[in-house]
Amino acid sequence: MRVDQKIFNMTDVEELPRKSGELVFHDNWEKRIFGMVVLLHQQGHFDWDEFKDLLIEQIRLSGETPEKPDLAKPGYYEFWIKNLEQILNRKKQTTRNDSTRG
Amino acid sequence: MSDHHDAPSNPYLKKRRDSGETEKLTKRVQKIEQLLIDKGVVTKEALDRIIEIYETDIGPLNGSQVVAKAWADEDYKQRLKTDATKAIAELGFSGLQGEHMVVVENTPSVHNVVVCTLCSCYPWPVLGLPPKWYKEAPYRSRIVIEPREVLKEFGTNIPSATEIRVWDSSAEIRYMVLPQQPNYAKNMSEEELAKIVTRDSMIGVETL
Repeated sequence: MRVDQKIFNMTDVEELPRKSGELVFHDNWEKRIFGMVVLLHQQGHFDWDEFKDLLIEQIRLSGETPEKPDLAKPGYYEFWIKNLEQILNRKKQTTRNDSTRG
Repeated sequence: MSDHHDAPSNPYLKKRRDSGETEKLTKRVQKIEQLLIDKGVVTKEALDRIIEIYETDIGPLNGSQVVAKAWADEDYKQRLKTDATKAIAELGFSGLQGEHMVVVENTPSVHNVVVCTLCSCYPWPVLGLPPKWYKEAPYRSRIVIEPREVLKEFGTNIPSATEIRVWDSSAEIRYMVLPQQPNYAKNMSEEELAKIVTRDSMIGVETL
């Protein structure tokens, strides 16, 4: 059976594979976090560079290298969750400070 | 091999995470989504729409149209090499992660391959979202150190006389590779050409 057919037959995957047989998202939560980040950016809640810099920092801190791959780690989109949580916490903090000052 | 032409064996795919882990992450993401919806910052419909756009409208098929046009139209190719962002926008492709595009052309003497060593910058408007292996540490660091070896693992053998150039997208610039037009495709129409261009050839881990 072809690899892409196998992927097609997987029940927990909604999206069809791309041309190369790989999926854009592997789990539903990846789609949701991706959508939230892009939407909030488009609505002007944060600059893309702010998000990207945090992402670079998270990846650096994770310490994962080719010699030390961490197979248990979900990887890339988990960094997106951490990033968005940080950005939202910071915003909450700012709002709180503003309201106590005001 | 021909049976798997669309799905090259990939040494960089990790196993899927276990269900307990997935459940934890799902709950974490649901919590954020619920919070944003409750506060009226986003709606479920807007979220669904944006995910749908990235899953269906934006993808490597856009990039393959750019490559096909460059092959078919020498003037366009020159514009693409001079100001890729502008030339790509001519075909209607632009947006987030599509700013500051640079297109690097493969020739018999130079093979180009793209990576983002720091995170996973990737030209979304032309290639869609990055494949999993592009985002993983092994590809990100090894392609810089031993590109020829890594390309071999992708099933791509570059002749030893051909120079391999690795382009790192970290610094604000997003690269896309213009693959060499295969000999068998010399007389094809632009529409036919677009069909033979693969995403991996525009990243540079595959030749056509």
